[in-house]
Amino acid sequence: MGRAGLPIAVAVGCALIAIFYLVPGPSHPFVGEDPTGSHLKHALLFFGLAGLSLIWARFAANAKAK
Amino acid sequence: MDLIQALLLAALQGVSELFPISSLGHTVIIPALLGWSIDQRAHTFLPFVVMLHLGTAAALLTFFWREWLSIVRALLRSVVRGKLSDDAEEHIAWMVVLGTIPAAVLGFLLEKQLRLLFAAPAIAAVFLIVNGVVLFAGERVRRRRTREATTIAVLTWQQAVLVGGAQCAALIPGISRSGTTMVAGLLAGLDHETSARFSFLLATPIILGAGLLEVPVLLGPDGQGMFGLALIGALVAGITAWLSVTFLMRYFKAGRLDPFAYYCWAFGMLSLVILRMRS
Repeated sequence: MGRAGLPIAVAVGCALIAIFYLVPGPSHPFVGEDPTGSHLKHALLFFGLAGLSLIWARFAANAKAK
Repeated sequence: MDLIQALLLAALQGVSELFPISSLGHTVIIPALLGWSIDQRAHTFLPFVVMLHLGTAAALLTFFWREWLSIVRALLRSVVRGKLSDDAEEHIAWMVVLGTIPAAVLGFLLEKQLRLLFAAPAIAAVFLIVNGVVLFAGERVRRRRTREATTIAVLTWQQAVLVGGAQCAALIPGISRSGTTMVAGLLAGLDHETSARFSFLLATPIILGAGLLEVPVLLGPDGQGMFGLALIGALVAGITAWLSVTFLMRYFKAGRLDPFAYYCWAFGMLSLVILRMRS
């Protein structure tokens, strides 16, 4: 895994946070209104960050292969 | 909110979003100075603000369309290839992406809380004076610099994140997004024109994203009553933003930040005096 390890860990972390925001029930921090509801926009933000981290992981893996 | 108020707020948004003088600060202070009783936290106000943002973002996208086309192409090239090349366009594109992340995350998570905390006209006026100090100090530091100005293509990722991160300060009403990013750009070694260009490129996804994420509000019951007014507002904000960015890109070929610092000090202090006399 090498240099791609950190970005993959970041991607997994972001995806987990995104799922956390999607699931209604727990008290979600930083949401303004209705902390126990489902927060699609927050989930989209963290899924987006997870996607960027995966691109970073691919760059890192290919940079190492080079 | 009547038509005159809507037009004034739209013009104010289009100009102050791009000039380094804080749009948020002005939209908090000016209605208070004019004695307008607009509840900016009301659900019906949000669709109006969304359209103003979309108008401003459209103006920025149109003005910098060549840069955006090049950025999107460069991003797609590098993603498809799966690795970064030494191409300057690719470097600039990824610097814009990296610079956008801190403000997107912090802005998204903290904007409502900070706005509620600081959205009082007197506090915004104080932070407008602080904004003037930031602009003035940034200009002073740049003038002492002896090395040659650099370009976006040679910024490091750390510098891009720092410049982009400076946008986070603008979550406080009175602190300007373009002001803090331009100062951070100057400190990173950019000249005024490049710093302004990078600042506007960084602002576009944030302004556009903030607008697009709230589009469902426009389509909801709150939006239907405001749509006509919001559409006119978007047009006015777009036109004034276009004129502002055209002016600023010409101005920063030779101009400096300190005139905006003097404006922030004068307007901030005058606002404090008027608000104090009224209370």
